[in-house]
Amino acid sequence: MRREREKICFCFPGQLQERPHLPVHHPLHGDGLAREICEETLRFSGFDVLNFSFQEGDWEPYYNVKLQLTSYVISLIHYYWLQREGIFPHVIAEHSMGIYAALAASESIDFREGLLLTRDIGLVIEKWAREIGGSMCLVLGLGMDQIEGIRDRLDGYRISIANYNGSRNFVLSGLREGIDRVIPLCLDMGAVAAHRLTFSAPLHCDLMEPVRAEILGLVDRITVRELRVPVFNHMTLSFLKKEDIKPFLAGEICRPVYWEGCVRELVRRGVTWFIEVGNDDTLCKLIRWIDRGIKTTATGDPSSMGKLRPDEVSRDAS
Amino acid sequence: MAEVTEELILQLKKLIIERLKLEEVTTEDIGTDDPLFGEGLGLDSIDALELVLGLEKDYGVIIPDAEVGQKVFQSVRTIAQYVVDNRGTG
Repeated sequence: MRREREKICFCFPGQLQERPHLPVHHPLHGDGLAREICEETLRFSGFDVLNFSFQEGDWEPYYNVKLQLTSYVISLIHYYWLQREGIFPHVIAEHSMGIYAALAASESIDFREGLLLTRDIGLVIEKWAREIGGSMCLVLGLGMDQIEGIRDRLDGYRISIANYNGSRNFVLSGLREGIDRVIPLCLDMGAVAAHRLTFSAPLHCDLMEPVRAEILGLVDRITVRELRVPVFNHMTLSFLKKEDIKPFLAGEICRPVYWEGCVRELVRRGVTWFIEVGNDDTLCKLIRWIDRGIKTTATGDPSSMGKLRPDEVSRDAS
Repeated sequence: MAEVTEELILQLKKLIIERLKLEEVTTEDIGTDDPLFGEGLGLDSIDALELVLGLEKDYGVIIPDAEVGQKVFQSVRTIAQYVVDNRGTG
């Protein structure tokens, strides 16, 4: 029987929330390609992915930077594994800090540039976080009206919606005291869950504006090339162009992530299969909520790679 | 007081598999008293939201807040007991 052609979107997730469990039998230890990338990461950024520590520099205390680098490297190892299996995307989507791996996958920037951008932008964000005292939390089960109501009650704490992940799934950013107050209010209103995330910075809101110029300075050092695979811009619901990339990178930390709209638009444009390229399956779960009918696979699921067979996959992007 | 039946337990296991799209999992794989979160099935709060909706849709029971949710979602048996105790009261 002839299989129907799939239109595939590779999704690059944002920062991991905790150090991933990588036991000795994990493929990251044994696979030659993975080992090579981990060695390259150590050589160029000073970060040892498998031991989750910096071997040089004074960056060891920056936990979120280590998580960001780990997320970046694992996503790209998974991406290269998919390539090795003959599985290629028609389009790429990204969530939050997943942009660096997404751009490296699209070959708009190279692996090393993405690696150093991830580290250096991460450090700018972390230093700013320590200065301003920010935080973020996940709220599940409340609708937009309820979230807006809570924001109004906490006027002055500069609470913003940082991620529009689904109709009842939001991430909020703000000053730390504000987030401390948001969580019990959300729980009192009947949220299924409301808890603080690992981030120390109030990402994806205007509290990040003061570091935009510094980030643009870092971004200006890299060479941006034409994208070989189109990367979808969740803010404009259109594909990023080469000339959009630097301002996008500098601005995205100040703007929300419109993940729900992004997924809906990609489905409307014909995507039939979302493959999450990273260590977890969070984006697959978000997509499940947005559109239960759409096919999803997470490469972080150890059994998934074997199920992704090239004969099921079309390379024809038309 | 109504009793939890094996039929309800089986229905709830099917609901978990269907709502969470656990394609590789069968009802036999889910122990009735096994923890659902963390070490057990490995579910998280995003999964909990799906289950809240599923229970509301299929059984008309409402999980009013996170505190109740934590107690209800300990295992399939605790979900079943909550359904039995609250069906028709939502």
